[in-house]
Amino acid sequence: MREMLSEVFASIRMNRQRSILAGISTAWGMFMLIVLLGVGQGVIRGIGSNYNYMRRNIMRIIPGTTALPFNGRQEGRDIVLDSDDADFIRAQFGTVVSDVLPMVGREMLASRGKNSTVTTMHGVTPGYHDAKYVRVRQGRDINGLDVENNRKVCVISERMASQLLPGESEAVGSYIQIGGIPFQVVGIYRPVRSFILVNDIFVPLSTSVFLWEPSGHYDEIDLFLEGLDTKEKNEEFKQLLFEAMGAWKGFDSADVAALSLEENMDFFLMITGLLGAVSIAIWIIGILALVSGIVGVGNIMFISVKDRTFELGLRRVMGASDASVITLVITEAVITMLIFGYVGILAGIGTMRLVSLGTAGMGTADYNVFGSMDVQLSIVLIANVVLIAGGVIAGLGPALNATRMELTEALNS
Amino acid sequence: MIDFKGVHKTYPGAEPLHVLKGIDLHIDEGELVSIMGASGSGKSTMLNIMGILDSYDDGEYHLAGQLIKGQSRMEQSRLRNELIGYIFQRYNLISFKNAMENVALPLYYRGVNMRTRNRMAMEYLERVGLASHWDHLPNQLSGGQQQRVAIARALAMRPKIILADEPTGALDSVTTQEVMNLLKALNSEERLTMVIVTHEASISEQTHRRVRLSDGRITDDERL
Repeated sequence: MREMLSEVFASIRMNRQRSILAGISTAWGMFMLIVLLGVGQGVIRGIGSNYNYMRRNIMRIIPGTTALPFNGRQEGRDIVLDSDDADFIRAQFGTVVSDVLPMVGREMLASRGKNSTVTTMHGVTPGYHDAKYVRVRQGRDINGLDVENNRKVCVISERMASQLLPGESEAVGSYIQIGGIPFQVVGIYRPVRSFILVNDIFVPLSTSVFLWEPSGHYDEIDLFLEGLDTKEKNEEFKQLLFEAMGAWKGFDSADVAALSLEENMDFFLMITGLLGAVSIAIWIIGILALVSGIVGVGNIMFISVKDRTFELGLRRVMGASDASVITLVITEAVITMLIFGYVGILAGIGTMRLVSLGTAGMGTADYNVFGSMDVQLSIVLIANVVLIAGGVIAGLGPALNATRMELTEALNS
Repeated sequence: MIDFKGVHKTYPGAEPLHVLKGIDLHIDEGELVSIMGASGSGKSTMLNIMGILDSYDDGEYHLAGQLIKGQSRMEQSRLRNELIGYIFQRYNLISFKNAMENVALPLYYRGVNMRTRNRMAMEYLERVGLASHWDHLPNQLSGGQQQRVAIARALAMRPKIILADEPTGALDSVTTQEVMNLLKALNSEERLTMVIVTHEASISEQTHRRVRLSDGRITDDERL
């Protein structure tokens, strides 16, 4: 083994041009793979991150007024939703509905000292931020204990914080008045989009019901839906929902005015389709890069082995067995490609780091262009193995040929 | 040592070429034989069959008492490595190996470790008078020097026979004589069986026996 390796290294050393050509094509293949995959993934992650908040399929149920008579009762009745209805939906549609988020909402005056502003107060339960597209940036979000204990705590928007608490170093922890009742600010949020929910307040659902909605009526119940990946399934679910709710609440299941539904199904399908298509595009780019690398490496291997027909023939005349000739060629190829492959990987990773630095500031606070460009190391290593295997296979043909060729012919080549 | 009985060889093709048409030849151990003939007479084919570099169709070829027919490629490699030293017209040295490494190559395939084979290679280079040039690459040596390296390489295998195909074909008259003197000395001192293919009368006259070949048949076999 050591003897063979020293023979291999002597051959690599003495055939610099051949080794460098095979090496460069390997390095280039790996380099291009990492750069293309990295930029592609960066774009996908970047653009995709803008729509991440839309990745969940949400349906909002807003109580309405019946438009059809039902069981002897006239049209024009108001439908109301309360905690029993939320429990009913949970029990009936547990497999499709992953989360049920009841909410109340109301215009109110929020103030602190001389500063005041009109705001929308939302009574919510944990998990609401995904339905309302907000992210808490300072402090904490509304949690289960807040709801359980009717705490007078609130999460306010960044703009409200600057309006009500201007110049205060610690907005989180201070108190504001909502409708004249003091609430402690526990968190400050930023809307995912700068144009919605800019001036709102979130408080625990139980607190808002206790203070302002003693009837216990909800203004809205938001559902997170799972597994409804086509319009047909969505329509089917709506049908079932109306039938079940109609029987439960007492209205005609064909009465679309009884409950009004707000959906993001179209957009949800568009976004999941878009992200899916782009990730397929990334795979195609990666595979093309890999194939071009294999073609380059294979070509060089093919030529370099053909180039050695005479030398390999002579080795056979000197007593080399077929196996030892093939082992020599393949070991030499693998060692060359391993060394240069890692050079290419390092160069690719280095380049992507630089590109990441250069693109870090691109886009706006609201819209990302590039995300992380790191390519998974496992993908890189698998690609490297594939590349080397490609080179070996490309070299194997001519190597086998060289051993099968008549010796007299090989010596005359 | 070498025994041909009715050996035929045809190269297949659109027009099959019947190159050897029944060769009978016996060469004893220690003989120095030249084979002469015009180009196309089949002399190189005959030498290639002797060296197990090429196969034959009909007849029998015994080398050192062993019938050379139907061996596996592995077995052929072993026989070549153990029995035969080759000398070619174009020297056929590996261009990226220096003189010593070229001589040591067949020993590598015999499994001799590096230190021993390099020491042995130096001994054979000494024998052909080129020890001082051991680290020269082939292109740094003259034609005569390269052929002497090739002879040292053939000797390194400690072969039973040496087969030389136009060994002086590419050399001038002075170096031709140097190489011939070396080959004759090896034949007499080491009792090496030696077969030299040539078309130069001056070469064949220095051997002990001259076999003439014409159109695939032996036409003359004389002791000198």
